[in-house]
Amino acid sequence: MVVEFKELEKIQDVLLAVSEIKSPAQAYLNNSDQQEFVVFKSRVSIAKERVEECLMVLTDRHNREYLDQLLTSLQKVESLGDALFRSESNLKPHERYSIFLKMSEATVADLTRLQGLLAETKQEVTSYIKTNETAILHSTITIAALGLLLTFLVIYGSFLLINRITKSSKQLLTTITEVTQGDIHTKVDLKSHDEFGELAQAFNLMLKCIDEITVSRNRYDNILNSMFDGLIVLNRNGSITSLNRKACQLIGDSMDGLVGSSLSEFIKPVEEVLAESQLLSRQGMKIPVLYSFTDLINDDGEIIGKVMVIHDLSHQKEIEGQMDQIKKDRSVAILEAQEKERLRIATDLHDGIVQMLTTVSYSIESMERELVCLNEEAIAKLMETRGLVNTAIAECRRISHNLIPLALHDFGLIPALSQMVNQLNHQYQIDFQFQSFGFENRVDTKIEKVLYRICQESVNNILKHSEATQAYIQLIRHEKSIVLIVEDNGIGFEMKDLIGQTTGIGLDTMNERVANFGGILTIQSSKNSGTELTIELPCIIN
Amino acid sequence: MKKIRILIADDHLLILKGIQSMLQSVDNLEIIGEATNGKEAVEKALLLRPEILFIDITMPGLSGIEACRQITSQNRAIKVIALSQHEDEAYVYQIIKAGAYGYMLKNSTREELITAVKTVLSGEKYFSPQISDRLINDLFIKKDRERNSVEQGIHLTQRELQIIKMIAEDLSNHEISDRLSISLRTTETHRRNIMLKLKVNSVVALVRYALKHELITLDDQ
Repeated sequence: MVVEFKELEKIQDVLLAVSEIKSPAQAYLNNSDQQEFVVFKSRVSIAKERVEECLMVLTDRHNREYLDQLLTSLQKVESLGDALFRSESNLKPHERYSIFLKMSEATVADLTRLQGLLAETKQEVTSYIKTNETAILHSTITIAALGLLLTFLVIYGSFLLINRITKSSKQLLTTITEVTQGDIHTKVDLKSHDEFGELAQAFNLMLKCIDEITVSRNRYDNILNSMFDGLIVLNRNGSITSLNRKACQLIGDSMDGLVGSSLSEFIKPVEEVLAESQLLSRQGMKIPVLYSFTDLINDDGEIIGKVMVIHDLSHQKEIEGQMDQIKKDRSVAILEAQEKERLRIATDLHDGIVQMLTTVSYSIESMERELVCLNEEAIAKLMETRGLVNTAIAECRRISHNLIPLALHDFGLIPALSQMVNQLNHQYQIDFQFQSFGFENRVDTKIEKVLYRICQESVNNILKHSEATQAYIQLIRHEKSIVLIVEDNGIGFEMKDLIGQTTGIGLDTMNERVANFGGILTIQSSKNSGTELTIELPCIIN
Repeated sequence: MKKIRILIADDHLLILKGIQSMLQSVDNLEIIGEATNGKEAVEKALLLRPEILFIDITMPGLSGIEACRQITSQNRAIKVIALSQHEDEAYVYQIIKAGAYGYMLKNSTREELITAVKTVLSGEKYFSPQISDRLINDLFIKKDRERNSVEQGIHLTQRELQIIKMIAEDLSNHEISDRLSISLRTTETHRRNIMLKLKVNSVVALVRYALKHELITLDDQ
């Protein structure tokens, strides 16, 4: 850009220098002053210098021949000038003038050439400027385009950035939401190395910590919920603050439904560390339980509530009940077997031995009657023998009766008891009375037997211990039970004396018998006011 | 003279033979048959129509008591005498109720048997000496008791009298249980016993009974 202007400047310098060459020659023509020659000479050398300078500047795009020709032309002009100025005296004016003309023509030609060169350079400059303008325009467009591109890039970049921020924060938010919803095993999946990445790492670390803590809590929850026993934690007011699954099952309600409830709704714990009790479930069921009830003490040693562990005894009680029932059934069976055996022996005596002895008695009698050969002594012997046989028969009957009165088997409890009372009255001084109420039909023979035996035992007690003068035996038949009342007006006893020494009066066996049949025995007595025994047995209708 | 026709029922053959041999030699008695169980006894008695039937009580199948009931209900002319090994009065009562005229123990003598036949045929009842002893004792005891019973009516125990008083005072079962230190169930049992014994269905009836029999007085309340 500068070169062209320099060229133009140099060319113009050359043009100026060349154009000024002829003026001293012209002036010489007019005044013939030799001084003009010096000027001429300096101007020619200046012109030459300028041409040299121009040559230095001029680029290859220009025709350097112009300048070379110009130098040659200047040489010619110089020589013409030399000729003009040195030959002043010898030349005629017109000759001098013609030299001048020649010189002038040469310079004019030079000038013309220079003008051409100038025009060329100017053209160059113009084209340069044009080129530059175009270039500027292009540059502007480029700059504008670049600007636009840059703007887009910035927008895109910020979009990406925002997008990434949004994405990261969204991911964080999602994870936080998951955590709040209980999934603490999640983690933020952010791999970036920016602040979000660091935040995500920190968050994951936090989650890991929470996870470790929560895992241990879950672990304890799992342990407590897997316990066989119920666990209830109470605050100081006796309200439930927490409880495990088994406790919920036992009470029959959800954890939410129970927290805050008062423990006393379900169980009344005595201030005992370990005790058996009943738990009242929400469904109204009474569950036998063994519980422990201890203080809940915090790290500072303060009592902040109670911890209760409840062990369900249902199964155990059920088994105990079953075993008890089996035991009872067995006792009943043993008693029954015993009674059967007694009955068998009694019947055998009655229908076997007694019958045989009877026939023996018949034989002896017929001997007494029919053997005429017998003397009186022999007859007396036979009669004595018959008497012994009859005693044996009576003894067998007595043994049989003592084993079991066959009337009990044949006619039932009421005839058997009334007969027993008759015999008692016959045998003893005590006035026994027997009354029965509501008996129209016989009851189960097992119950008949057990009641008969209980009566026998009661009567024995009265005979042995009571010193009574009167005794009442009453049997009352209710729809579902039979009550036996045995009352005497004897010396009685203090109820407290009964404890521990019941065996003496056979109450233990009696009580066991009654219990085996699912009955209840109650005794009312006090010193000098008699004894009243009440037994209630559930009756099996026969 | 027409012989007295006798049927004997016993499941023990030796006994049958024994009695037969004892009575055979008696002039005016004739054994017209034997039965070895209750059913056979009924059939033969109704068929042969004996004047006297000696019958055992304990026999297989139909018992002597039941057989006696069936026979006497169909033919009152047949006089049944129980010939039993049982001394217990219960048997005596049962067979007499069933229509028997006599009750003898099996080891009775020949003379006793003959006396029994005669007594029964004359329209009276006959019992072996041991049996009649018992019956007479019973009778005296019963007489005594009846005398007592007239005075006392239905016997109420001390506890029952206490409870009747409390019921008259309008105490609930709970209150009665508390006062007497007995279980509620026991109180309820006593109460039911009282009601059943006195044949009353309401407290009003109970109090009326108690007042009438001076178990309570109006002053008590």
